[in-house]
Amino acid sequence: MTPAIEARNLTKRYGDLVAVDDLSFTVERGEVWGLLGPNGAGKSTAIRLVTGLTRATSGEVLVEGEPIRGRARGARNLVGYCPQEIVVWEHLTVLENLRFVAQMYGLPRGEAERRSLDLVVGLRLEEKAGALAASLSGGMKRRLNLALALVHDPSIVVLDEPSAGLDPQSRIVVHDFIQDLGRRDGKTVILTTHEMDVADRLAHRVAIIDRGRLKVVDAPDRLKKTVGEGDTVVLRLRDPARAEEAAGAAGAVAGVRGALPVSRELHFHALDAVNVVREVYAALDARGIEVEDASMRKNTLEDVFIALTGRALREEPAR
Amino acid sequence: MKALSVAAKTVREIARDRRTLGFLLAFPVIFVVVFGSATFDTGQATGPHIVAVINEDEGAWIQNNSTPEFHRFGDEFVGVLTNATYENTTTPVFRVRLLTRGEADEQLASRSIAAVVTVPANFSAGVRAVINQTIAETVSTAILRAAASGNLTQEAADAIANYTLPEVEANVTATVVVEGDFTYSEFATTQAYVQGFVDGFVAGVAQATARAVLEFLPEELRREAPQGPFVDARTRGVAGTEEFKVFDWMAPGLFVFATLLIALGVASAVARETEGGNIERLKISRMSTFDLLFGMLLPWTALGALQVFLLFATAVAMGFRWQGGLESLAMAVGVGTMSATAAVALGLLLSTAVKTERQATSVGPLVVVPLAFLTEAFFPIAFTALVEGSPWGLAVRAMRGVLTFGLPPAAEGTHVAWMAGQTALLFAVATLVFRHTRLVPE
Repeated sequence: MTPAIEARNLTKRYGDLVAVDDLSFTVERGEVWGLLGPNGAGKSTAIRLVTGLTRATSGEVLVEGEPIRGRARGARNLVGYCPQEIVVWEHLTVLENLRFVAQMYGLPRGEAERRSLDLVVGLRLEEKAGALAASLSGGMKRRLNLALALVHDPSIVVLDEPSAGLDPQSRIVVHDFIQDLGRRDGKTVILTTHEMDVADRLAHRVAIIDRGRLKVVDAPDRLKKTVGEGDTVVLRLRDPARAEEAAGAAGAVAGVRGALPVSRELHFHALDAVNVVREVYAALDARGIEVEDASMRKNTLEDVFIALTGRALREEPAR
Repeated sequence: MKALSVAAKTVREIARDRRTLGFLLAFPVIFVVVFGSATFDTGQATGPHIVAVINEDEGAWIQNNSTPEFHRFGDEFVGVLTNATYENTTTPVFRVRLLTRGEADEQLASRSIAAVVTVPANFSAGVRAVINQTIAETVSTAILRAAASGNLTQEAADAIANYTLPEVEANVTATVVVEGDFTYSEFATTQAYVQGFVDGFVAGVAQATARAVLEFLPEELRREAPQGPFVDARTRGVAGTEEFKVFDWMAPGLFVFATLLIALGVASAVARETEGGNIERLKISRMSTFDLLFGMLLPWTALGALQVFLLFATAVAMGFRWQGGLESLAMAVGVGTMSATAAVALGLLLSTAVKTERQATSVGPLVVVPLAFLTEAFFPIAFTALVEGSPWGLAVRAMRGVLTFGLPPAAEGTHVAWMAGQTALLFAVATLVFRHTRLVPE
């Protein structure tokens, strides 16, 4: 079957800055595909290339087998795009916003009305259907923002940081809705996020991008296994300058794998973490390296990112 | 269909954005009320405007039925100015002083006179060109219409065969110059009157010529000849017996000024949608450039027409002496709508030059306000090219012609035609620039 999206060697340059560097990937139909990376990694640029909002310097994007450049106007109904920023018409009501965008995609009046009402219910905006968008809370605006991307019933939905800045209640509503899009409605969903738990929970496959380059693409569980079995231990050091030395000391302890200095922290993996930590403490103490705080958790996609790049997701990328 | 959806959405947005609506409707109304209340002049009884006339006309030979005659139309025009009276009164419109250049300058400096009117050396040559063109047009039209309707008899055909149309001279422009102090309100009134009398004189000569030509044409051709509107050059109507006030001259300018403000509304609205990502959101939909721009144009130009209506009613309530009938009002609304169209184009261009709504609201007035001054909305501008170089300047002249001076709408046809051309050009440029900068992928 023809994939929903196929990106071939996409590169986008802004002067000397390479925002996306030779990016190639395939998104299968009905798949929820997450693009994970820190801020500034090139996620939004990649998404804009996929939607046709930005022209690639080189390479091409195929949407259901057709090149995105030169696509007929009618083919634009295939893709729905929810930008990272809240883009609504403040002086229109919730329903007017939805009807207007539906009409811009050429939906007949009756169909536009039906789709608008369905989305208002699906995203729990019924009580505010007649309210001006300007009067909505931030969370409700985000839900409306998402609804506007879906109102023309696209088969491919591209969501750029869909849960950024959401309150907990809206977050649950939006995440459930995105899961339903894939499972119940069979839509292809591409979502970008810098939140590992969002990608982990929602995506069938996750692509990790850093500095414009694609590092890896796989199912979240398989990616986490690449880091190693066992738990991840994070020790926060009092003196960040000694993180490198601490990693060396910890790495020499039996049972410690993948010891890495990450900012002012020391990260490592271990099967028998409770006992291994005791020995690592002793090794650090012998060198006079003080530990401020310690935590232990299951492997996450952030650990995958750290293993691939040597940096945490929350750190600003070095350009 | 999508254009209508954009239009409906824009109407809702304008109606709900009270700040913009207030700026575009209430603010110009306040302007009209303030200018209508201002005392630019004495506001007292009728009085003649004192003008110096320097008649440099050298006269011209005119072929009258194969007999050459020498005419001094400059003298006739000065006679018109001298004998003109306010409608239904014996009060003269002007008190004419025939002075030398030096005397005129001296009296102008001391404000003993309101203006200096210079009749150029080629004035008669210019009038001769009008006469010859009128003859050619009248005869040609009559023949063509008669031939088309099958009413051309052998007798008429023979008469035509023996008739030689006069040669229409090209590149003859006789300009009556009116000089004065722009800061002197009496000058504004006087120059407006003189301009109206020049138009009336030329129209009268053309009408008289057409009538004379008709007398020589066979009956069936006479029926087919075009009948122009009657204009009496000697006593061209200026309604009312009160003094013509500066406000009468300004009011049409204020109407156009209001429509020009639409550029600021459009620039802000489009900049807001660009900054907020709304345009980008629509860019990937099936909406075309035509859908967006035509959909935006409809409500904004309708708002322009509403502005003209509203301001016209306010101006009349404030004492604006409106000339002409409903025909002139309909033309004013039409011109206002076209002016609003040009303003939409300007707004689109402004929106492409800024990145945020805040920039649009700060940069927009820097363009719109000087442009408004150059339209002659508030005071006379010495250089005609500056005024007529923009659709809004032409709009002011056309509206002033029909509403203030009571000229028939046809007399402002040239201004309106130029305005339509400039508006179309401006809109085409705005569409191209807007599309290139806002609607194609980065």
